[in-house]
Amino acid sequence: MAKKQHIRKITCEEAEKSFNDLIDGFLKGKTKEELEHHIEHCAKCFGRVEFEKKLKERIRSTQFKGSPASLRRKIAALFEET
Amino acid sequence: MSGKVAKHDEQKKFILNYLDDLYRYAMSLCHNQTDAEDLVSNTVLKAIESAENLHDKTKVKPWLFRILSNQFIDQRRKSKRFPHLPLGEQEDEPERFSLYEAVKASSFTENGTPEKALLQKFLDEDIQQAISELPEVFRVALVLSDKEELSYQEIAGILGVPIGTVRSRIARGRTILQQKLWLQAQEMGIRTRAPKESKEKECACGKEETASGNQLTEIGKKRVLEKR
Repeated sequence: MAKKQHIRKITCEEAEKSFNDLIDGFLKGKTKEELEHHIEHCAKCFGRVEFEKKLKERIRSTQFKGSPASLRRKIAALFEET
Repeated sequence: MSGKVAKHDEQKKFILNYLDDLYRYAMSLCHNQTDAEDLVSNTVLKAIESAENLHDKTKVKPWLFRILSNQFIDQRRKSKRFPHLPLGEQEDEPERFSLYEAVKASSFTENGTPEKALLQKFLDEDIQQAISELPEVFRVALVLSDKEELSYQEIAGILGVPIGTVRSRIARGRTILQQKLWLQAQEMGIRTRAPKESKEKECACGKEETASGNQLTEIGKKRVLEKR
Protein backbone atom coordinates (compact mmCIF):
# COMPACT_ATOMS: atom_id res chain seq x y z
CA MET A 1 0.00 0.00 0.00
CA ALA A 2 1.36 3.40 -0.95
CA LYS A 3 2.42 5.51 1.99
CA LYS A 4 0.57 8.83 2.27
CA GLN A 5 3.05 11.58 1.53
CA HIS A 6 3.25 14.56 3.85
CA ILE A 7 2.89 17.88 2.05
CA ARG A 8 4.72 20.80 3.63
CA LYS A 9 2.55 23.81 4.36
CA ILE A 10 3.76 27.01 2.80
CA THR A 11 2.91 30.64 3.43
CA CYS A 12 1.23 32.99 0.94
CA GLU A 13 4.57 34.76 0.55
CA GLU A 14 6.30 31.51 -0.42
CA ALA A 15 3.41 30.54 -2.69
CA GLU A 16 3.49 33.87 -4.49
CA LYS A 17 7.08 33.31 -5.59
CA SER A 18 5.98 30.31 -7.68
CA PHE A 19 2.75 31.68 -9.22
CA ASN A 20 4.40 32.47 -12.56
CA ASP A 21 6.07 29.05 -12.75
CA LEU A 22 2.72 27.39 -12.08
CA ILE A 23 0.87 29.48 -14.66
CA ASP A 24 3.58 28.85 -17.26
CA GLY A 25 3.64 25.09 -16.63
CA PHE A 26 7.21 25.18 -15.38
CA LEU A 27 6.53 23.88 -11.87
CA LYS A 28 7.13 20.22 -11.08
CA GLY A 29 7.29 17.70 -8.25
CA LYS A 30 7.19 18.64 -4.60
CA THR A 31 7.10 22.43 -5.14
CA LYS A 32 4.08 22.03 -7.42
CA GLU A 33 2.31 19.80 -4.90
CA GLU A 34 2.97 22.25 -2.07
CA LEU A 35 1.70 25.19 -4.08
CA GLU A 36 -1.40 23.34 -5.30
CA HIS A 37 -2.13 22.25 -1.74
CA HIS A 38 -1.79 25.84 -0.55
CA ILE A 39 -4.06 27.15 -3.31
CA GLU A 40 -6.69 24.52 -2.48
CA HIS A 41 -6.94 26.02 0.99
CA CYS A 42 -6.26 29.72 0.43
CA ALA A 43 -9.03 31.65 -1.31
CA LYS A 44 -6.83 34.70 -1.75
CA CYS A 45 -4.02 32.84 -3.55
CA PHE A 46 -6.55 30.77 -5.52
CA GLY A 47 -8.22 33.98 -6.72
CA ARG A 48 -4.89 35.53 -7.58
CA VAL A 49 -3.67 32.53 -9.62
CA GLU A 50 -6.98 32.34 -11.50
CA PHE A 51 -6.75 36.06 -12.24
CA GLU A 52 -3.14 35.81 -13.45
CA LYS A 53 -4.15 32.93 -15.76
CA LYS A 54 -7.00 35.01 -17.18
CA LEU A 55 -4.72 38.01 -17.67
CA LYS A 56 -2.25 35.83 -19.57
CA GLU A 57 -5.09 34.52 -21.72
CA ARG A 58 -6.32 38.10 -22.27
CA ILE A 59 -2.86 39.11 -23.52
CA ARG A 60 -2.68 36.06 -25.79
CA SER A 61 -6.06 36.82 -27.34
CA THR A 62 -5.24 40.48 -27.93
CA GLN A 63 -5.46 41.17 -31.64
CA PHE A 64 -2.18 42.52 -32.93
CA LYS A 65 -1.92 43.76 -36.47
CA GLY A 66 -0.67 41.19 -38.96
CA SER A 67 2.28 41.81 -41.26
CA PRO A 68 1.60 44.75 -43.61
CA ALA A 69 1.24 44.33 -47.39
CA SER A 70 4.50 46.26 -47.92
CA LEU A 71 6.40 43.60 -45.93
CA ARG A 72 4.69 40.77 -47.79
CA ARG A 73 5.75 42.37 -51.09
CA LYS A 74 9.35 42.69 -49.85
CA ILE A 75 9.42 39.04 -48.80
CA ALA A 76 7.90 37.91 -52.10
CA ALA A 77 10.63 39.85 -53.94
CA LEU A 78 13.25 38.29 -51.69
CA PHE A 79 11.93 34.83 -52.50
CA GLU A 80 12.09 35.61 -56.24
CA GLU A 81 15.77 36.50 -55.92
CA THR A 82 16.81 33.42 -53.96
CA MET B 1 10.54 19.65 -60.13
CA SER B 2 13.93 18.70 -58.67
CA GLY B 3 14.26 17.67 -55.04
CA LYS B 4 16.37 20.75 -54.27
CA VAL B 5 13.75 23.16 -55.65
CA ALA B 6 10.97 21.36 -53.77
CA LYS B 7 12.97 21.59 -50.55
CA HIS B 8 13.62 25.28 -51.13
CA ASP B 9 9.91 25.92 -51.68
CA GLU B 10 9.08 24.01 -48.53
CA GLN B 11 11.49 26.19 -46.54
CA LYS B 12 9.86 29.34 -47.91
CA LYS B 13 6.45 28.02 -46.96
CA PHE B 14 7.66 27.37 -43.41
CA ILE B 15 8.99 30.91 -43.14
CA LEU B 16 5.84 32.49 -44.60
CA ASN B 17 3.72 30.68 -42.01
CA TYR B 18 5.51 32.67 -39.30
CA LEU B 19 5.64 36.05 -41.03
CA ASP B 20 2.94 37.64 -38.82
CA ASP B 21 4.64 36.29 -35.68
CA LEU B 22 8.01 37.61 -36.82
CA TYR B 23 6.55 41.02 -37.60
CA ARG B 24 4.79 41.21 -34.23
CA TYR B 25 8.01 40.32 -32.44
CA ALA B 26 10.00 42.79 -34.56
CA MET B 27 7.49 45.54 -33.70
CA SER B 28 7.87 44.78 -30.01
CA LEU B 29 11.60 45.37 -30.44
CA CYS B 30 11.70 48.29 -32.89
CA HIS B 31 8.46 50.18 -32.24
CA ASN B 32 8.24 51.44 -35.80
CA GLN B 33 7.05 49.80 -38.99
CA THR B 34 10.02 50.63 -41.24
CA ASP B 35 12.63 49.22 -38.84
CA ALA B 36 10.43 46.19 -38.11
CA GLU B 37 10.00 45.43 -41.82
CA ASP B 38 13.77 45.73 -42.41
CA LEU B 39 14.43 43.47 -39.46
CA VAL B 40 12.00 40.82 -40.69
CA SER B 41 13.39 41.01 -44.25
CA ASN B 42 16.95 40.52 -42.97
CA THR B 43 15.74 37.66 -40.78
CA VAL B 44 14.03 35.92 -43.68
CA LEU B 45 17.12 36.32 -45.87
CA LYS B 46 19.33 34.87 -43.11
CA ALA B 47 16.85 32.04 -42.55
CA ILE B 48 16.88 31.09 -46.24
CA GLU B 49 20.68 31.12 -46.25
CA SER B 50 20.99 29.01 -43.13
CA ALA B 51 17.97 26.73 -43.62
CA GLU B 52 20.27 23.70 -43.61
CA ASN B 53 20.92 24.34 -39.91
CA LEU B 54 17.29 23.72 -39.06
CA HIS B 55 17.13 20.03 -38.22
CA ASP B 56 13.94 19.90 -36.14
CA LYS B 57 10.95 21.23 -38.09
CA THR B 58 8.87 21.47 -34.91
CA LYS B 59 11.24 24.22 -33.74
CA VAL B 60 10.84 26.58 -36.71
CA LYS B 61 9.35 29.40 -34.67
CA PRO B 62 12.04 29.59 -31.93
CA TRP B 63 14.70 29.17 -34.63
CA LEU B 64 13.33 32.12 -36.62
CA PHE B 65 12.92 34.21 -33.47
CA ARG B 66 16.52 33.48 -32.51
CA ILE B 67 17.71 34.69 -35.91
CA LEU B 68 15.59 37.82 -35.57
CA SER B 69 16.98 38.55 -32.08
CA ASN B 70 20.56 38.17 -33.33
CA GLN B 71 19.82 40.37 -36.34
CA PHE B 72 18.35 42.99 -34.03
CA ILE B 73 21.40 42.96 -31.74
CA ASP B 74 23.79 43.16 -34.74
CA GLN B 75 21.77 45.95 -36.30
CA ARG B 76 21.74 47.92 -33.07
CA ARG B 77 25.48 47.51 -32.56
CA LYS B 78 26.13 48.88 -36.04
CA SER B 79 23.62 51.72 -36.11
CA LYS B 80 23.35 52.68 -32.40
CA ARG B 81 19.82 53.74 -33.24
CA PHE B 82 18.20 51.88 -30.39
CA PRO B 83 19.17 53.45 -27.09
CA HIS B 84 17.60 50.71 -24.94
CA LEU B 85 19.09 48.11 -22.61
CA PRO B 86 20.85 45.27 -24.40
CA LEU B 87 18.72 42.11 -24.52
CA GLY B 88 21.25 40.33 -22.28
CA GLU B 89 21.46 42.95 -19.54
CA GLN B 90 20.60 42.08 -15.94
CA GLU B 91 17.75 43.75 -14.11
CA ASP B 92 16.63 44.50 -10.57
CA GLU B 93 14.53 42.27 -8.33
CA PRO B 94 10.80 42.71 -9.02
CA GLU B 95 8.88 44.90 -6.61
CA ARG B 96 5.59 43.52 -5.37
CA PHE B 97 2.29 44.52 -6.99
CA SER B 98 -0.85 42.55 -7.74
CA LEU B 99 -3.59 43.94 -9.97
CA TYR B 100 -5.93 41.32 -8.51
CA GLU B 101 -5.39 42.60 -4.99
CA ALA B 102 -5.65 46.21 -6.12
CA VAL B 103 -9.02 45.54 -7.79
CA LYS B 104 -10.31 43.51 -4.85
CA ALA B 105 -9.50 46.44 -2.58
CA SER B 106 -11.07 48.96 -4.95
CA SER B 107 -14.44 50.64 -5.30
CA PHE B 108 -15.09 48.64 -8.49
CA THR B 109 -18.00 46.27 -7.96
CA GLU B 110 -19.37 44.11 -10.74
CA ASN B 111 -21.50 41.06 -9.95
CA GLY B 112 -19.15 39.71 -7.32
CA THR B 113 -16.20 39.24 -9.70
CA PRO B 114 -14.77 42.71 -10.27
CA GLU B 115 -11.38 41.35 -11.31
CA LYS B 116 -12.87 39.41 -14.23
CA ALA B 117 -15.03 42.37 -15.22
CA LEU B 118 -11.98 44.62 -15.17
CA LEU B 119 -10.13 42.43 -17.69
CA GLN B 120 -13.14 42.70 -19.99
CA LYS B 121 -13.17 46.48 -19.59
CA PHE B 122 -9.70 46.79 -21.10
CA LEU B 123 -9.64 47.18 -24.86
CA ASP B 124 -6.98 45.40 -26.90
CA GLU B 125 -5.42 48.82 -27.48
CA ASP B 126 -5.15 49.42 -23.71
CA ILE B 127 -3.27 46.17 -23.25
CA GLN B 128 -1.03 46.77 -26.28
CA GLN B 129 -0.27 50.27 -25.02
CA ALA B 130 0.68 48.97 -21.57
CA ILE B 131 2.93 46.28 -23.14
CA SER B 132 4.60 48.80 -25.45
CA GLU B 133 5.50 50.97 -22.45
CA LEU B 134 7.41 48.17 -20.71
CA PRO B 135 11.21 48.43 -20.65
CA GLU B 136 12.60 46.41 -23.54
CA VAL B 137 14.08 43.42 -21.69
CA PHE B 138 10.80 42.78 -19.87
CA ARG B 139 8.60 43.52 -22.86
CA VAL B 140 10.47 41.05 -25.05
CA ALA B 141 10.32 38.26 -22.45
CA LEU B 142 6.62 38.89 -21.80
CA VAL B 143 5.71 38.99 -25.49
CA LEU B 144 7.61 35.77 -26.20
CA SER B 145 5.92 34.04 -23.27
CA ASP B 146 2.39 35.41 -23.15
CA LYS B 147 1.74 36.38 -26.75
CA GLU B 148 3.91 33.93 -28.68
CA GLU B 149 3.39 31.09 -26.15
CA LEU B 150 7.01 29.97 -26.16
CA SER B 151 8.45 27.97 -23.26
CA TYR B 152 11.06 29.31 -20.82
CA GLN B 153 13.61 27.08 -22.51
CA GLU B 154 12.78 28.36 -26.00
CA ILE B 155 12.90 31.98 -24.82
CA ALA B 156 16.26 31.35 -23.13
CA GLY B 157 17.54 29.97 -26.47
CA ILE B 158 16.19 32.94 -28.43
CA LEU B 159 17.63 35.57 -26.11
CA GLY B 160 20.81 33.69 -25.25
CA VAL B 161 20.25 34.03 -21.49
CA PRO B 162 19.78 31.45 -18.68
CA ILE B 163 16.28 30.18 -17.85
CA GLY B 164 16.47 31.91 -14.44
CA THR B 165 16.88 35.24 -16.20
CA VAL B 166 13.88 34.50 -18.43
CA ARG B 167 11.76 33.70 -15.36
CA SER B 168 12.75 36.86 -13.52
CA ARG B 169 12.14 39.00 -16.63
CA ILE B 170 8.69 37.54 -17.17
CA ALA B 171 7.86 38.07 -13.48
CA ARG B 172 9.09 41.67 -13.57
CA GLY B 173 7.35 42.31 -16.90
CA ARG B 174 4.03 41.04 -15.55
CA THR B 175 4.36 43.14 -12.40
CA ILE B 176 5.07 46.35 -14.34
CA LEU B 177 2.30 45.51 -16.82
CA GLN B 178 -0.16 45.12 -13.94
CA GLN B 179 0.94 48.45 -12.49
CA LYS B 180 0.35 50.11 -15.85
CA LEU B 181 -3.07 48.48 -16.23
CA TRP B 182 -3.95 49.64 -12.72
CA LEU B 183 -3.10 53.21 -13.74
CA GLN B 184 -5.44 52.79 -16.71
CA ALA B 185 -8.12 51.39 -14.38
CA GLN B 186 -7.76 54.46 -12.18
CA GLU B 187 -8.16 56.64 -15.25
CA MET B 188 -11.46 54.79 -15.82
CA GLY B 189 -12.50 56.04 -12.40
CA ILE B 190 -11.75 52.94 -10.32
CA ARG B 191 -10.46 53.95 -6.91
CA THR B 192 -8.82 52.19 -3.97
CA ARG B 193 -11.11 51.84 -0.96
CA ALA B 194 -10.01 52.79 2.53
CA PRO B 195 -8.32 49.72 4.16
CA LYS B 196 -11.24 49.01 6.57
CA GLU B 197 -13.65 48.69 3.63
CA SER B 198 -11.66 45.88 2.02
CA LYS B 199 -13.48 42.56 2.21
CA GLU B 200 -10.45 40.41 1.32
CA LYS B 201 -10.09 37.53 3.75
CA GLU B 202 -6.60 36.65 4.93
CA CYS B 203 -5.75 32.96 4.89
CA ALA B 204 -4.22 31.11 7.78
CA CYS B 205 -1.23 30.09 5.69
CA GLY B 206 1.74 28.58 7.45
CA LYS B 207 -0.31 28.34 10.64
CA GLU B 208 -2.53 25.53 11.88
CA GLU B 209 -4.37 24.56 8.73
CA THR B 210 -7.53 22.54 9.07
CA ALA B 211 -8.84 21.04 5.86
CA SER B 212 -12.53 21.03 6.58
CA GLY B 213 -14.74 21.03 3.48
CA ASN B 214 -16.10 24.52 3.90
CA GLN B 215 -12.58 25.97 3.96
CA LEU B 216 -11.65 24.52 0.62
CA THR B 217 -11.51 26.63 -2.51
CA GLU B 218 -13.28 25.58 -5.74
CA ILE B 219 -10.36 23.37 -6.88
CA GLY B 220 -10.14 21.82 -3.44
CA LYS B 221 -13.86 21.03 -3.41
CA LYS B 222 -13.66 19.45 -6.87
CA ARG B 223 -10.78 17.24 -5.78
CA VAL B 224 -12.60 16.15 -2.63
CA LEU B 225 -15.62 15.17 -4.74
CA GLU B 226 -13.39 13.26 -7.20
CA LYS B 227 -11.84 11.28 -4.37
CA ARG B 228 -15.28 10.16 -3.10
